[in-house]
Amino acid sequence: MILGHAPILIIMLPLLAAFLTHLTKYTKLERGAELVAFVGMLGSITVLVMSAPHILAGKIFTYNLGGWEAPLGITLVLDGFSFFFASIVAGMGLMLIFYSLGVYVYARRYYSLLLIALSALFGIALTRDLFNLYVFFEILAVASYVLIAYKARPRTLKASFKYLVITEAAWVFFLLAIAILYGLTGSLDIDVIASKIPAIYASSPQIVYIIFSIMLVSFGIKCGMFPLHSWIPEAHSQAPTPVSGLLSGLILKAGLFSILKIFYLFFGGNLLGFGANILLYGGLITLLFGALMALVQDELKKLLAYSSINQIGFILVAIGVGSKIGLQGALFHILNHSIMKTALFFCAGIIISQTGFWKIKHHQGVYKKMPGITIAFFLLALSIVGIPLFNGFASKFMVIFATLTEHYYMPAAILLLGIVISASYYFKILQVFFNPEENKEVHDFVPNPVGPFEHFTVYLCVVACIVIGVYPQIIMPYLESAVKVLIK
Amino acid sequence: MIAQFQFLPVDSLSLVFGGLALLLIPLVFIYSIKYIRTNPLHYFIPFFILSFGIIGVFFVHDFLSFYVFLEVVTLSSYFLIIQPWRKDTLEAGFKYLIMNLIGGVLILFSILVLFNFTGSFDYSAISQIAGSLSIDMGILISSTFLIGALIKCGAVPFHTWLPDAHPAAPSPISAILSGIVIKIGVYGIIRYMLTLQLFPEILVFVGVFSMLFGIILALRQDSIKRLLAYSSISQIGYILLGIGLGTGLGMGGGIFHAVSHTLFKMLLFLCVGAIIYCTGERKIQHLGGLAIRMPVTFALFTIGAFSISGIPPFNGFVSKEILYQACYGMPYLETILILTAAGTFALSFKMFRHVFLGDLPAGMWKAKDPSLLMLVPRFVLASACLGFGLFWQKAFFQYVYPVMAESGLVGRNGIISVQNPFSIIALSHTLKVVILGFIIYFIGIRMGWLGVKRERSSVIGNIFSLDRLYIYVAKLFYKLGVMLRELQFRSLNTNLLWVFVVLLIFYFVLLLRII
Repeated sequence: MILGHAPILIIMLPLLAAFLTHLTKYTKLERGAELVAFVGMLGSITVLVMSAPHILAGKIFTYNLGGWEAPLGITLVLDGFSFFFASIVAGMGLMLIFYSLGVYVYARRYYSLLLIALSALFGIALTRDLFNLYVFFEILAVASYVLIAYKARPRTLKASFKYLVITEAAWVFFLLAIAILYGLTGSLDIDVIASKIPAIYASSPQIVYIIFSIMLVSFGIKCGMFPLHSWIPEAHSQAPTPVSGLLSGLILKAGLFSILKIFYLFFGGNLLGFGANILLYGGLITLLFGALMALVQDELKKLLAYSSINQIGFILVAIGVGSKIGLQGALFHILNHSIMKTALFFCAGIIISQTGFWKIKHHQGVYKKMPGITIAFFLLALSIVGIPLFNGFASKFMVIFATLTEHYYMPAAILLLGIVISASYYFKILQVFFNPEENKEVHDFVPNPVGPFEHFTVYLCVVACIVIGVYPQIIMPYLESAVKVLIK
Repeated sequence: MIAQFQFLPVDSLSLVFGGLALLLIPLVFIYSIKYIRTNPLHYFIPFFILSFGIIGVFFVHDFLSFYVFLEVVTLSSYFLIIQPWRKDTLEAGFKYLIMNLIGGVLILFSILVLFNFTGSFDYSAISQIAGSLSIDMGILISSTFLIGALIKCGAVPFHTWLPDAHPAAPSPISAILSGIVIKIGVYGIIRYMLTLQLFPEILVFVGVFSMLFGIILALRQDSIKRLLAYSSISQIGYILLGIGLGTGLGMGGGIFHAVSHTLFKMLLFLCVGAIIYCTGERKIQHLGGLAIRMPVTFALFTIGAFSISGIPPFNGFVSKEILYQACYGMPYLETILILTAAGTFALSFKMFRHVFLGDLPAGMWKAKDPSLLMLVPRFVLASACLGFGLFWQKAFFQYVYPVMAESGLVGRNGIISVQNPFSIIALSHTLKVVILGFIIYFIGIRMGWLGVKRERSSVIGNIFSLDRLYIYVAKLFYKLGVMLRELQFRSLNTNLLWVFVVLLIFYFVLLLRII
């Protein structure tokens, strides 16, 4: 029965492909690395699709590495919750590879690193071992440092270095927290620790507070919570386009996903009831900060990066609210934001590669040159703002609904204010795009050819946005099975 | 969780507004076929989405779907407003979009809070539970909903987007915006009043302010489309006043005036569109003497102008007369009604005199009435104006009255006591309006208030301009962003330091249980 090995297969297939990409040097295949990467991702997706009906039926796939049981060995679990995130990784990973296929500059090293990052993301989704989680995060971090600095220019190297220093500082603390927990409980398995935490909390709450704050800071850096966001704008804007998509669409989400995981599995959700308030109010500050900063950006990719911070704040608020619908909304918005923001970065990448300008004001009259991409950008912007009949509305609606149901009136009002501000910065861009006067500034620049793959990827994402927005019920069962794991 | 759209059963309020929209949108479509000469796809795709949204917003059966379609309308009309895609239309569209999104978001907030207490979005279900709301919640819900809906319908003090957006759009779209889209706000308010019946008095104030402000500002304009846009604000004031009175007669008059306004304002905008189509000119100073060159447009415009100023036997006369009857016994309101009507008359006369009479400017000898496609819709609207005036009893009792009957707003005997508007009292009203109107016009033209000769900018107008206030608030957010950007620490050391500081903050927040 192949599905018994589903958890490990999902992680290993892309990892295997990552090493095989280098071996394609010795074959006569013209684009062997791309083919291998594509097949590797397709393998993971096949396993996920095959396990989907079982997950919906409530089955949980548990896999003990090397046959060692929980307190000693590493456990990988594919339940509704990890399935949801793994599916996002699989879907968006495929989109990233699709997009990269069209851009010929990426070589074997690029695909190999991308696959390593994706398999680390799968690992983060599936593992139930704390140290293993740490290892996967480190693998992800190392792969993404190199990916951000892929073009090896001074600015990209600087952005990558900043990312490296800040995240590593957090992981050192994270390791400390793991050590404390191991000393206290004698185990690294999340479920085992979770069962022992209430007793520790009863005897010495300070230790639990320390662990909790360390974990929140480490994952907060990953997901860009204010004021730990400092690496995001530069890394997002300097990275190659698909890597910006990877950062915003998946790596930030890995941080959020881990917050959900530790908060609800580890501390049992209710144990630190008022700890949720940190997430709620921290989320509100993050949201307002991201929105206001995005309002004053003049570079397209930086604006999108700050918009990501804005949306992350939205999700943090949803996690902080923590009711059933709130968590469903949080997960739903994680999915939607992955699709929308990745596609928006793709659009921005295409526009920048065609015009050679980074600043928004130089993109006047883009509509005349690239109507398709501009319309796609427009639809995606509507979706991310939260206009009805797009997927952004469905998830934002759920979050605001949950916030109000829990009687947080002021936070709900701020969430709505965030919607208005985000509308104003997206329409500020669109105003420039739709302006018929073309940019007069001339510079010697040869546009890269944009192939069908890039366009296809963007349009596919737009179609996904509209389909999910008009008919959100297709996602609902997955959300329910995911939240069932978190709230028992 | 996410509601299914429910279109049935349709009640009579939906039928009044939705039926009107269903009948009038095709007319505008016929008109647009000829009017739109460049980039038809940019126009007709959003046009059909807008139509879909309008029909949806009137016929759905719960507040959530109402909101959803409301946003569809906002977005698609944004695309139509920016139509020629020039810098000024893009800016007008931006203002329209942001202000209307704020309105929409407020409505969403309100209906979600309402859902919290009633457990339903459905109109009829809410009206059954509404009595049990506490007063605080009532204030929260109704203030957010009313402000949202008032932004949508362009009432003072939330009107600032309207005089920019309506003139910026192509004329058929101005007709739809003024005739139907701002009625969505009105419809929302009526729906809300019928389900919840909270604080109707505020609407009387808003209505009175809108009437006076709208007409004063309208008189000062020199662009024929801006002038009509401001007059829409004043007419919305009439409708809100009627609804705010809270009586069956007031509500009936308000709804009837909403219907009348839709008919005559669309007629006027389509006539103005014909003028702009034929002459390419929209400033009142550059127009004149068109009565000879465009006799049919002149005749149709006359019907619309008579109707808007309340001259018998057109529909505007009847609906204003019903509002007079509803205000019976409140001398202040009656005076304001007469003053506004007189202002409207002066406005119409201003357009007559400076657009259709006088000397024909040099470049307009070739102007002539546009072809059949642009005439037929206006003929239909003009005959509707006349028909609703002459057969007012049929129109009122079969079309508007069922709304009151269903909502229990009728009197004890089940009948609203509407007197025949074609009476001596009513004619005396008309006489007063005409005389006062002439006085306002001639004093205004003598003092140079009417903006006919040259543009005047007044200091007082700028200080009290709400538009500037809103732009100032918007800029405040921008400045806050700039401030944050300046404050943001760029050095890696500081960023690293913040990691530790945040760690400590989290720990102490948890330890001391600050939040």
